[in-house]
Formats: sequence, C-alpha cells, structure tokens
Amino acid sequence: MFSKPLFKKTIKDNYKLWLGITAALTVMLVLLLVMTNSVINNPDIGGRPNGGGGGGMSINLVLEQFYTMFAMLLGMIYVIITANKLIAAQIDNGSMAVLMSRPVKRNQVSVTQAVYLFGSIAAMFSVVMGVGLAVIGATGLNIAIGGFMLLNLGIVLFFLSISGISFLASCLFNVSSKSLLMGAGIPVLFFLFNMLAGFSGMAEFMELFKYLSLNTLFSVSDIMAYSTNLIWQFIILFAVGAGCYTAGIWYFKKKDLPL
Amino acid sequence: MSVIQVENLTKDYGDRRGVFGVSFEINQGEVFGFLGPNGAGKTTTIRHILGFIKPDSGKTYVNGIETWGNAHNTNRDIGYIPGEIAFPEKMTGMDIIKWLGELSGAKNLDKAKEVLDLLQLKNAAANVKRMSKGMKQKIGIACAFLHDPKILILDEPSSGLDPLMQDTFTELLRRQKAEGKTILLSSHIFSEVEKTCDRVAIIKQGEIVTSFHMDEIKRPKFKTFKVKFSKDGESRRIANEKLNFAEINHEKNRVRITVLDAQIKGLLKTLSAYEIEYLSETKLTLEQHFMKFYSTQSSGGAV
Repeated sequence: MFSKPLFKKTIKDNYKLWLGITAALTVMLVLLLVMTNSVINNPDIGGRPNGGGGGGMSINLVLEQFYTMFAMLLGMIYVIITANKLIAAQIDNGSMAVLMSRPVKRNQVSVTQAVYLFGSIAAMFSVVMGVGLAVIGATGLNIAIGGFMLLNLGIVLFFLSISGISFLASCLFNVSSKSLLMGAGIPVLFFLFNMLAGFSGMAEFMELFKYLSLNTLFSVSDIMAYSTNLIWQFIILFAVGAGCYTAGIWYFKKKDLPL
Repeated sequence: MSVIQVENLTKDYGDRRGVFGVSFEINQGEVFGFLGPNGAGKTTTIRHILGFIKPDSGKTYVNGIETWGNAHNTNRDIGYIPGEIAFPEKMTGMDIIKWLGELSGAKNLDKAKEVLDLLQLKNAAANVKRMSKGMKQKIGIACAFLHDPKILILDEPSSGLDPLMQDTFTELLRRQKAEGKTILLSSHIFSEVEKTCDRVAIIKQGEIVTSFHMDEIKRPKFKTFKVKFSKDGESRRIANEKLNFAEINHEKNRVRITVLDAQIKGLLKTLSAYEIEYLSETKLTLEQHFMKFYSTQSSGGAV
C-alpha cells in the first residue's frame, strides 16, 4: 500500500514549496502574536495586562484573521499546486510511465501520494502550532492552550477536506488544466462563498452562501468557545476529506493511464 | 508457453482509432517485430501489455498472467522503453537510474552502466531537462535494461539515436536475443526489424493485416530474377514461354520472372536460347513487403 522509494522522491519534489509556505505562516503568526502582546501590555493605548481588550485588539480577532485569511489562503495555494503535481501533472507530461512500468501497484502510488499530501499539511500546522505555543508560553499571552490546539486540529481537518477535493481532481483527470479547474476551482469558490456569507448582515439571502462552502465549517469563534457545533462541523470535514481521498484512490486504480 | 499473448484485443477510441481484434503470441526467446506507421495502434497494444489501460474486450497476458489489474506482477520481468520518453523533472540521468533501480529491486546498477558505456553516454549526471533527445533516449534505454529483465518491450527504441548509435543498439538487441530474452520491438525502421526480428506483424488502422517469419522474406522459396536482353525483340519472344512473369517490359527489353527454387535449372535452360545482357536476382525486402499493404492507403484505405 505504500512505496518508500516513491515517497522519498515525492518529498524531494515538493519540500521547497512546503518549507516556503510553512515558514511564511510561522513568521506571520509569530509577528501577529508578538504585536498583539505589545499592544495589550502598552498602557499608553489603554491596554490592560491579560485583559485582551487593549486598543480594541481582541486576541480572538487576531486568531480569526490568521486562520481564516492567511492560513486558508496560503494553505490553499500549497494544496492546489501540490495535489495537481502528485498525480495529474505526471500523467499529463508522461513521466508516470517510467514509474508505472515498474513492479508497483496502482494503490501503492495513489496511497503514497495521498499520505504525502495530507501528512505534509498535518506537519505544516504542527510546526505552526508548536511555534505558536512557544510564543504564547514566552509572552504569557492570554490564549487558552486547549482552544489554540483545537484551532490547529480544526484547520488540519479543514485542509483534509480541501486537499481531498484537489486530490480527487488530480486522480480523475489526465491533464493538468482539467485537474486544476476542479482542484483549484472548488476551493476558491468555497473561499469566495464564505466571504459572501460574511455580508449576511447587509442582506439576509447572503447567508445562503454559507451552505455552499466548507469554509464555514471551520469557525474560530465556535472553536474558541468550545461550541457543541464543533462535533458535527469536524465530522463533516473529516467525512468529506476521507470520502474524497478514498474515491480518488479507487478511481486511480481502475482508470486508463494514457502513458 | 508463450511469454506474451495478445488475445482478440479491442480498444475503440472512435473515428477508427484504437485496436480491433488484435491477436498474437510471442514465444520465449523470440524477437517479434511490430511494424506500422504512427497511429496504427502499436503503442495502444503495448499499453495494454504493460497494464496501463483496460481492454474493451479481449485480454493480454505476460507469462500466462492477465496484465490488467496485475501489472505490478507482470511488469517485474519487463524492461520497457516508451515511445516518447518523459522523465520526472529536476532529476539527473543517474538519479533516475538509481531511483528506478530501487523501485525494481535491482541489486546494483551494473547493467545500466554497461548500456551507458556501450551507447557512449558520458555525462549521465546532467539534469535530464537539459539533455538532447538522443541523450534522453540513451538514459531511457539504460533504464529499461537496468534490472536485467527477461522480457523487453521496446516502442520505437532507437528514435533520436544517430545512425551509428542505431547500429550499436541493434547490436545490443542481438546480444539480448542471444541471451534468450523475449523481445517485442515496435518500429518503423525496416533495417532494424530486418536485422533483429524472427517474426513480424504489420498493423494497419488497428488491425493486424499480416504476420510472417522473417525467413519468408530473407530466404523465400520463390526467387525473382530480372533478365535484360541484348537483342531487340527477345522480350516479345520469351513472353510466349510458359514462365511466371512478374513483369514484362518490351520498351526496356527486359522481364522479371518468379520461380520456385526447384525450377531454377529449367529456367536457366530456357534462358540459354536467348541473347542476355544481364541476369540478376531481385530480393524481396521487408520494406517492399510492407508497402504492399500500405500503398493502397491513399486510394480508400482498403487492404
């Protein structure tokens, strides 16, 4: 079910983008946390130690900004590019022929690539979380550790579902353009629908958009409040992700490879 | 038992593209030539043998095992050179050879290095992206041989090689043949097929139109002689003889006569009564044989 030589090569092919995105996210989080900390602890702009409300700065708002904007956007870029490269692009340029003519099973190839895609996302947010926890510890910021960890679990589950869609697209199509149309198109639409849903205060029908997007299932305020909604939100994200990955692996096994 | 077996294979891509009821068998140690122009269905057939695509109907077997769904088993013994070689990006030639060696479970890379030496590729450590077509082809050939496979499936393997290297490659094939390897050679280079193959199938628009032993071409039971006469009117005179004429040309005063080996003595006796400028044997080449099936293509495509 797994090919070590392929996994090694996949890491080699993709680690640079992973490093870049992970570094960018980590630096942004550190900057945001340190800035928040200095604002909160600065009495000149009305900060109260550990009060969380300094200068109108709410720590939850900062986390909301980071996770629903930076993490989602950069994570999406990583997932879209990587998922396409893992399968569809290699069929498109024909280089998968040298691999598939060797004694490897179809499932070995698809499972190995799936493990890399999801594993690299989990690793990305483990790094982000680890660094975040270190900064919280060092600055004494008033952030619930449990909530912060749950936030990272949530974003990983969110990207399990998004990467599942992109991975499925990569398995379904033999040309990059089609794979990207679905694998990038759907996540981008979700992101846009989620933004439109944010305007529900202006017109009620805008709220409908939240049902058209998986992004609404990752809610920073629900997570930080330990809302019971989390249970079904996480279950749906997991189910969509697991379902898409399974479907991709199943389809790749039975499809014609024009190599 | 045949090593490679293609049984009534059909894959219809529409517009008469694909393969239709293709059947052949290749025995242990045999070199089988697969001849046809681009788009005739050679590569489609090969993709089935490698288990890349599922037949609409019919089956392909390697060592008696159906290839679709079992390619991880059947490909173990196969060395494959794709028709259009594409390598993973950002890798050097040597990286690719090492990686594929690992995937194939090859103990060492001696075989690959041997092939690279033979083909005189010196800088295999260069990035494949910057390699010329010929250099890439040499890497591809080395990759196919690296695990010393018992079966070779070669899809236009010498494309991109210069004529000198093509000869070297033909020599490499002969050596493989001597080692008892089973080889499927898809090609449109007649000399390559002529020099190496035991048996040849010609494929046209997805169907095998003929298959034959190369012996039938190289050592036919029939021989054709061209006779040019030195005295005017001789061609008209000989036309009355009971001979099998392939051509009678009064203008040039010459004829072509086809005879069985056993009838040659009789032919010579007949010819002794004529004034002859020269007598020469017209050898049948693979190319001529091939053209018999393809020359009608422009006039409606019927065989």
